[in-house]
Amino acid sequence: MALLCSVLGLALWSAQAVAAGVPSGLPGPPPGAGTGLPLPPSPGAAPSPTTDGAPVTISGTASGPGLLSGTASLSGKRVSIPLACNAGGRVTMSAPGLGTMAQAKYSCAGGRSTARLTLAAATAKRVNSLGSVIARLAFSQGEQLSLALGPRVPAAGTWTSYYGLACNSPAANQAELLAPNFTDTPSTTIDVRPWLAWYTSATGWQWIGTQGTSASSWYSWTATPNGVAEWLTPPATITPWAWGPISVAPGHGIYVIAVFEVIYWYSHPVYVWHYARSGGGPNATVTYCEYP
Amino acid sequence: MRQLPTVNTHSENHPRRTRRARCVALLAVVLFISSATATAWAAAPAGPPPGLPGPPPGAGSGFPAPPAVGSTPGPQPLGPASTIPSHVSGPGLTNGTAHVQGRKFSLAIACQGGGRVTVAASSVAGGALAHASYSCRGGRAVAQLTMSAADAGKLRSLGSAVAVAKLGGQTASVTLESRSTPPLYWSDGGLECSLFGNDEPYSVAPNFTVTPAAIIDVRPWVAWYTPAHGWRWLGTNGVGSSSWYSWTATTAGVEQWVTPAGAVNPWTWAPIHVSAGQNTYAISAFEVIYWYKNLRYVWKYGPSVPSGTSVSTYCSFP
Repeated sequence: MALLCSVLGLALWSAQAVAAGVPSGLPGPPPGAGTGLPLPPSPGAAPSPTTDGAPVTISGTASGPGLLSGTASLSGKRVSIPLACNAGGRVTMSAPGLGTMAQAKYSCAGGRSTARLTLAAATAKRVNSLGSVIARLAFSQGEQLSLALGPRVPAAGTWTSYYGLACNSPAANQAELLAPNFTDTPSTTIDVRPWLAWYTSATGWQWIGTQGTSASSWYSWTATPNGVAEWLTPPATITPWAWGPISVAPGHGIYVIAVFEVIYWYSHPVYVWHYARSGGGPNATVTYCEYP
Repeated sequence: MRQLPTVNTHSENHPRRTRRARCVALLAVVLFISSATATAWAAAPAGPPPGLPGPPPGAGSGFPAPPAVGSTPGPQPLGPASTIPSHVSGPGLTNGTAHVQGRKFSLAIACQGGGRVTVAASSVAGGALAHASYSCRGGRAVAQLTMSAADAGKLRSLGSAVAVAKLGGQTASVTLESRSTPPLYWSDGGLECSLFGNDEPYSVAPNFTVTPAAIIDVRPWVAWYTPAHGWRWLGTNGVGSSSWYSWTATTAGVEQWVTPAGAVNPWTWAPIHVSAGQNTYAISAFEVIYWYKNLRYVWKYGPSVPSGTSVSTYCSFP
């Protein structure tokens, strides 16, 4: 009996030991990154007025699997994707232009799993030549996630604007997101899709958009050399788009980071996604807001 | 003595084997028919088009009325969601430019059968310039044409002319040129190949500039090529038909496209759906009339942008 308790204890300790702590990687691209884009803006038309993001709560619980890192390295034809899970399942990887890339079953033990996928030689060759792709992961539980995959995945950028995710603001166990003050020369209409990625050791990275879990809206503004034209309030004050309060359930060990996808509607449009800065205090910048 | 054909009236084959034999025979017939059909349609050489599509349908004709004195263009509709048809009928050109050497030139044709082609160019002669028969092999034909010495001389003096080729019930525009000239491209705008997905390009109008400012009428097109059908044209009104759009071109660009905050939102035509698996290539073209005192007409291709800032001749949809 003592031996059994020791074994059980060891198993529980191992699971917790593996799972506990800060995220092993950043969340990577948001769900459906680069897809579901709005149509180009109408000629000459000013962007329609937008509303701020509605209050939202991060519960710290999730039903489906979550990635432990949103970046995975392709080694030859093989890729291993560490998961937080509560049950085994099946995952299908695909990417625009590459179709279905690979499928694999995974089993879940101690809240952790690794989905091991093998790509067809031609597909792996293509990914290797591209350097990196945004792959879509469809799980049998219905969850759809995105993953930056490749032999040379570039480090994701961070919006340099002072604005971003303010931790423990306006109160403890809350956060408030202010959109970066997007600048561009010459002035350009932009469409922006905001996201919050949150992590616990039990859930991995999960996504919330302004439309709920894994769903967010596009917002249209004008990026000028001095910032977003629609946020300028005379005399030269800026009221950026805001999303909050973001309430975070205490006691789950939750980490939160914000992401913005942006389309710059140049004659040849450009799509990018970056993390937003997180503020740990008046002047401190941290990777993510932390809620023990 | 000639032997009568024998008929097997008795078989020792097991019934299952008989069924299998019938199945094999049926399969062979089906395979033969499929293979014959495939040969007729798929024998056309795969790969990129051998040449650019040339001028759009009715290039330089069907002009709108000049703008009313003192008027400014009103709001213009966006290009509608469109689909490039996966199948079209009749022959098509695989190169919209023909070089005339002496009195002779040839037209490269994607075909399903032989036929006859007649070429006319109103800027060179009133009637037909040349006509010829062609036979089709492996989905391809080359029609060899000869024009009169007088017409060839007129074309030499012009350098090039937009001609109309009638073949198999189809009409295609073609540039006849006595001197080889590089194709003309608008410096911006064009066809975005893959922003919305790998089979969903869209067209962006170039930000037309001109000094002094002038009202312009613009007719947008997308030409698409498949090995089986050659070049075909899609306009905002459907296959082979497009609308004129009216704006004011200024030194800084199109006046009506500037937003109150100073951004430039050009006219777009989106999305344009392409059927996957057809080995389709596409390129945009824009005809423009500058309504100066003396009208000026020009058509050029738009650049194709596979992704980001890279530029290519065509968008490719395997």
